[in-house]
Amino acid sequence: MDPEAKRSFEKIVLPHLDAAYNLARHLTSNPDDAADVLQEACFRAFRFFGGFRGGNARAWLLTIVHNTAYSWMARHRRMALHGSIKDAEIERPLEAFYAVPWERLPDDPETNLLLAESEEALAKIIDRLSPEYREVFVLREIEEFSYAQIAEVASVPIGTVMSRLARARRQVQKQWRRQAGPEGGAR
Amino acid sequence: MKCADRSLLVDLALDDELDMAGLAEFERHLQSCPDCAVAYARKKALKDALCAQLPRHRASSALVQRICEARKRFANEAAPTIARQEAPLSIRNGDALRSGAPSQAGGRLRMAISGVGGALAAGLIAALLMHETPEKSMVQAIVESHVGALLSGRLLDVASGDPETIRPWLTGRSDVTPPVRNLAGSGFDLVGARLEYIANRRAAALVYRHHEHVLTLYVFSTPNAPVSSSEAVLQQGYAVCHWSRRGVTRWIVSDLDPRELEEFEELIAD
Repeated sequence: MDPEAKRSFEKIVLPHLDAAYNLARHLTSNPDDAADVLQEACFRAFRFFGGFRGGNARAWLLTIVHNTAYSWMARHRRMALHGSIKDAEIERPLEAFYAVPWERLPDDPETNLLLAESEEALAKIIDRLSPEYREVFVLREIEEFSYAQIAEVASVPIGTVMSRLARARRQVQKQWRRQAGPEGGAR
Repeated sequence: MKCADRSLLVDLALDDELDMAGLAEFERHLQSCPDCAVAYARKKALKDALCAQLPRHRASSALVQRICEARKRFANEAAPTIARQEAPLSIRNGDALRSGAPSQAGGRLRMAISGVGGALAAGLIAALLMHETPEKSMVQAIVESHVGALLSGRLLDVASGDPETIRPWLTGRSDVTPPVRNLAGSGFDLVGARLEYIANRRAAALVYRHHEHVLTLYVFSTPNAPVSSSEAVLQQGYAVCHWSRRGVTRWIVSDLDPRELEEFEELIAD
């Protein structure tokens, strides 16, 4: 490997290790598994770096993390990954998510204060989402990826990104209001 | 006025997914529709509050250090001769990366397969430089899965030559429960099965042995695939072929001679 490529890998890819770990951690829900996934993903990234043609390095690395995490989970957990969301739900037209009336959102300052103290509770709520939902949620809300970028990382159509995101948000908000107690939830 | 149909727009606006014209129209609408304006404000507040305290996990410095060291080793070893590098697939579970120095057994294994791994790595790089068709990248993924499983010792999730053991095991775990046959009479011993996840699809992988060669038969559920079949192609010394029928696509890979691989294909396809 020529020194140029070596340097640019260090410069281009390594800054995104935290984002990569964060995604691995959210996908696997476990720090040890996330460390394994990240190391394996990085090794793939070393190998594939020659194929990186510029563009968003974070999205490139996270795509590798996504693929590695799914293979890893299929290998180690024998888990019905795609079985965890019924196809009908994925295929449900997006409008279905929005056809219901507005979610009533907590809007009094007290509730927000309460929410601000429940970081741990929020982590638990996120953990309760299925990995597919958690992934789009994390990519959107933490990494601030566009729908198109998320679609690429998760290799699903944009419509699926939008419906997963809508469902994930709905679930998180519902749980969060429940946590916030009747004052926050009753309005 | 109820604007339920606008709630998608609210999300799109909050997610920065509206183009200039869409955003302008949305803002005009907010000015004339208090329902939407309030909803937008609340959603934004909630989103901001949520985002501010979402769990952001950071890689520990020890982990970052391990990765940087692995990166240095990789870069140095890749430098002189790419063909002699450590077989990348042998560390699927990260053990070699984690331990710093490869274990003795791992070292022996790597020595034994360094030729194969080197050829594979070189092939991978060549494949990346070439224009890759979906077919080609699938061949690549199949070879990588097969070799990876061999090198990592994760060849089997269930070790049995008995179809009556394997079939029920696959039921419910894989998208498709293929007929499982032990072809020992024809020289192909069924040794077991595992689950694989290749190119975003689950596959049932049946493993056979033919003398000193290991074959993997991957079975994918592909309801919409047209009937097709391929000649065996050689990829980094591995013969690969595939065929699709009745909503099921099968791939076989082995270091067998392509002719023998096609013999096996005929036995399976019968």
